[in-house]
Amino acid sequence: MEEKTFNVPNIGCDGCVRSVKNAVNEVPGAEFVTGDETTKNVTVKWQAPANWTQIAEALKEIDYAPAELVNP
Amino acid sequence: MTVQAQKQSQVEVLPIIGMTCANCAATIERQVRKLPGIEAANVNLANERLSVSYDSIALSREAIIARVRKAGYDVPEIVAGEDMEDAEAKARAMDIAHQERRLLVGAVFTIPLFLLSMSRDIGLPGEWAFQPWVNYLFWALATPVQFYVGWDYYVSAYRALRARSPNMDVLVALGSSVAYFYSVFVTLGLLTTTSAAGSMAGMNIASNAVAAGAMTNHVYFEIAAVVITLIVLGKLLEVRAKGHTSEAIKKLIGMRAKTARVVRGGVEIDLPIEQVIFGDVVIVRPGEKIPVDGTITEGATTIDQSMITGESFPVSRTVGEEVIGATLNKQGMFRFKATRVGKETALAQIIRLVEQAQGSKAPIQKLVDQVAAVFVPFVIGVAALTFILWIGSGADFTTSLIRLVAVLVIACPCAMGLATPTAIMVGVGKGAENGILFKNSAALQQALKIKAVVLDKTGTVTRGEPIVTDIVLSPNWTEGRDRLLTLAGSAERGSEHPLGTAVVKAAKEAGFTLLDPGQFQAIEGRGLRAVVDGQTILIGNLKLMVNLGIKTADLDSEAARLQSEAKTTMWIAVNEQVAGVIAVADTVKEGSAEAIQAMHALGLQVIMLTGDNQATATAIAKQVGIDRVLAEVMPADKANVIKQLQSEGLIVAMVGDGINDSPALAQADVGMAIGTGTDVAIEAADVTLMSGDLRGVPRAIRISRLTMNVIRQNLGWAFGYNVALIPIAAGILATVAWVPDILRQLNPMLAALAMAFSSVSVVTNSLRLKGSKV
Repeated sequence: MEEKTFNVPNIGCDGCVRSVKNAVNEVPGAEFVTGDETTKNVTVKWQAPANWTQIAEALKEIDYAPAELVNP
Repeated sequence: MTVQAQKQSQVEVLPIIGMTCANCAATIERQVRKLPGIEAANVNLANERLSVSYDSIALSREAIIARVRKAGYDVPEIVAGEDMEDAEAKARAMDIAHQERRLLVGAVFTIPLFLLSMSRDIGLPGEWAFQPWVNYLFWALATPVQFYVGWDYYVSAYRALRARSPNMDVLVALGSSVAYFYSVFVTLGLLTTTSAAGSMAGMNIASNAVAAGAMTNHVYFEIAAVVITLIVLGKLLEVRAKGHTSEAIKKLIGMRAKTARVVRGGVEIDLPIEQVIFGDVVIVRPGEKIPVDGTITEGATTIDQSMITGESFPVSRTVGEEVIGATLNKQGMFRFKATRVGKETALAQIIRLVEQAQGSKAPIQKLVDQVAAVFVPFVIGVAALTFILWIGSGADFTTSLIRLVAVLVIACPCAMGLATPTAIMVGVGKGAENGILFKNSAALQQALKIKAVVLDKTGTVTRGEPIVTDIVLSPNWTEGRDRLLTLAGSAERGSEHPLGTAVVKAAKEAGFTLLDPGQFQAIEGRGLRAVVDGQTILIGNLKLMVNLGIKTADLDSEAARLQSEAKTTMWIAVNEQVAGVIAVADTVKEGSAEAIQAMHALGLQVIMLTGDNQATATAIAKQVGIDRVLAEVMPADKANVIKQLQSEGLIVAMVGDGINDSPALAQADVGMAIGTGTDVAIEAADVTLMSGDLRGVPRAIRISRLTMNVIRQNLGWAFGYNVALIPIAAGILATVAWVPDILRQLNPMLAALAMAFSSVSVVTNSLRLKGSKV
């Protein structure tokens, strides 16, 4: 199980975090762990068939692209 | 015959739940726009609605809802056939029911708690009241209030704190929680203090009971419960007084024609209006509503366009000229080519403008929240300071803690929730007394800040219907004024044209009996011919006379004079000779000039905004004292003018009566509709001036001013008593020897008195507004 924590600058509120959560959970094998609307940090974990690129793409598609990685 | 690609444009508005910020709205818009078949998607954060326009053949409503849900937001189910506005009305009813439930539960537990607690403090019941189990009883009574009724405050306070701006709910949650939990500690005996200054109830009245009983510490359960319950009462009043959402959009959509008669493949068929496409040839018969916008290809007619353009007189249109959807065709029959359908029509544009305007208005910040934002940190600071000073002066931890708690408890004013709603209720009532209906409390609170007033002309400043102003006789006419008016009125008897009806009205009002016109013949765009009492009457414009070779020289200069006064001149010829000229004009309403004077006296800019022509507009403006006139303005631009003024930082009021005013009415900070105007205008506006008298505008501003004063005073009363007791709670007088015990520290009696006095003061002060003169 891989895990990453990263910052999503576009998060503005609770609802945004929810959108991110939904998008991540849609990627097979990926799981949204936690997200904070104040720090805008999101933690996700995944295993095959998911990979980081897929997750990042899914988030880019809904305009919540990951920015700098907090915990690579 | 080419096969048309099937496309069915569908417009829908869906409620969305769960959006909390602009980013959410933007996300939803982006996601929905990506769907195939979407033509436009727009999210309105304030209204919590998603407006979509899509090809219903390529995309289904369910697919759109699914996409929104996927993004993490919910679309509540609306039973088929139920309207958007109905769903909102339901939500409002649920909200009211929720508040009523809270109040009921709160009252049921709080009243006995309060009565018991108070009477115990006065020493009424007897010594048994000081047994420990009584406190447990109080605890039990207070708990449902604290957590069931008070739950909403905890949720709201949490959100407010996350956003780092305390509001009234934070204050309530803080004060009531401190009171409640402190009392729990005391009840459980966890807080023992024997310091004389702290614990012995400073009440001489009850001192016997105290000495005899076991209770040595105060509990404040009833304070917490009363605070929560009273604030809920205020909330209920607020929710009840909240205006219902405007039905303007609903009414506007209802103005569309339902079907259109279209020629397809050489065959005339009736289609539902959504299926009319660009380029369709549409047939319109007399009396029908024109379905969509287009250009006439065959025929000529007169059209009543007042609903879209505000022009009171029907206009004549012929081949090559434009017609507008939703306007009323009068007597001609014609065909036209559709150039704008669906969401591109002028009507759809008005609908969009009104929606946008309604959505762009952010709710005004409540004064009480603004006060709380400052007060909460202040109180916490004072409480902390109190604690530090006592500890520093050598008092034990528990005593100092008790004083800190006391400050926090007393600083929660229970009447603050009543301050605004009670004033608003009385303010709205005052308005109603004066024929001014405030539909929402925001308008009542904003009106006093108005800096510019924009007035529509027809129907607002003027009466809206033309009346006869002058009758000028030709020197050749010997039969007198009365005879001429009778003949003219008779000839115009069946007329539907406002000019004609004005003449008929004038004749009737003068008491003449009208005769039947024979051989009535309408001359398109020019006038009419009829035979009355054996005389051939010709009524019409100058062109008519000239075309028929009737000499007008005698009255030319008079006619020109009347025209310069922006009046419409009707020439009357009897038996081929000019008999006279009747001038007709839309006159200024009584009170308009006076109202504008009053507005100028209040320091307001007054601007006239009309779709009518420049000459008439300027003439009327001069009559009433308006110095800025914008004429020949389209409905969309009316809203833009308002926006322009707002961008200059002005609070703008708009007064209007027509459908073409509705975007501006919705855009204005305070939209005022004339009571005798269209339904749509009344729905789009925040205020209705029942009688249509413009003097209502300065009056409304005065009422607003008075109401805001009362709100401020109420907040003063609400906070005042409690703030005055803060020093006592902090124990400032604890060490002063000659002060009676009751003032050495906080006790429930003092707190209860503060609550009672502040509530009574607030309500009484609000009622005082009833008696004031406007």
